[in-house]
Amino acid sequence: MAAGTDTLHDSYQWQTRTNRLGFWLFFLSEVFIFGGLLVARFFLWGGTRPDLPQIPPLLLTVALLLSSFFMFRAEMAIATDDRKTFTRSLLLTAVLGSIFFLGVMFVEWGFTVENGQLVLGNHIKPTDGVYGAVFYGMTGLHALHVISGVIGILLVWNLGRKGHFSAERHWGVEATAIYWHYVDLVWVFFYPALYLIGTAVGHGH
Amino acid sequence: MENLFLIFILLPVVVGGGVLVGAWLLTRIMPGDGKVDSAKVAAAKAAVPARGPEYVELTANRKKAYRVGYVMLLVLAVLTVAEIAVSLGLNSVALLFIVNILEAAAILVVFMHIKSVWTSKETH
Repeated sequence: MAAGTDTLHDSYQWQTRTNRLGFWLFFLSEVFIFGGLLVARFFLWGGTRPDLPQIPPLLLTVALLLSSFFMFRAEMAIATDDRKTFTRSLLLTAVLGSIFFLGVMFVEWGFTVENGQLVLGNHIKPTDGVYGAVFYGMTGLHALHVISGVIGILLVWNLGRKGHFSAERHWGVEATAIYWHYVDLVWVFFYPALYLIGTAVGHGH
Repeated sequence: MENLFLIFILLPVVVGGGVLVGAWLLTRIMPGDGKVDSAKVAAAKAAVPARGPEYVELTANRKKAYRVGYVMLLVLAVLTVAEIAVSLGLNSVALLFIVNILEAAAILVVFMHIKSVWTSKETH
């Protein structure tokens, strides 16, 4: 075959298919990480949970679900060549994702500065035994994924506004969208495990 | 109340502003000196079919896709409310888990297009 011709394995569609498979295998590995944390929660907390305020995490959950809606809208927009909606929806997703991230940091974790030092512990401290350890472990790892997702979304937005991506070629958008929805998916399980399931108890154990 | 004020007013304003400033800064530091490649944008726009049958089909697909998004938003909202109702009213972990599974399945199928992993169609 002559050099430079578009063979099956060089085609964008083929590459996208293999990329997609690899990406899902990556998610499978992530399932073990988040699954391990979830198992740790049920093993260590059992039928109890720390007594935490209910309204802020609910609002943050709403923000995350809304961000997933806008991410889906952005993906559908580029798939149908609606570039304006594409870039706007991406920005909205980034804003809502950032609200979620900072909400976890400043409302749930209660990051404050006292005597020139960063202090944690609005409602629960990392040193509050198994409750603190599991709570900060689960929310921390999830928040790390959220902030990396926001960075990815902003990178895609920047490329998009420069004219990259089209209805036919937008694997970068699809990958970022899948990643973002995965972050949402994890929270669907983490939210009830942390805030809803079990009897609320004091957390100084 | 302080938390609610923080989430409803302060946080969206600060974060929204922060992300916009961050996005602008990003455009400065990214390759291509942050300038929009107008030729590329024009080419991308030109790729959109003119107002013919193809355009009508594309618009119809677009509307359909956006509608799916609205339905999903409604489904997720209802399931989240169900989650809270189950936890407050029935206090059943099994039922809560079923609601979670439904929510996760909806996200996997509609938002994450899990079917595309095993379908032979090599498109987006």
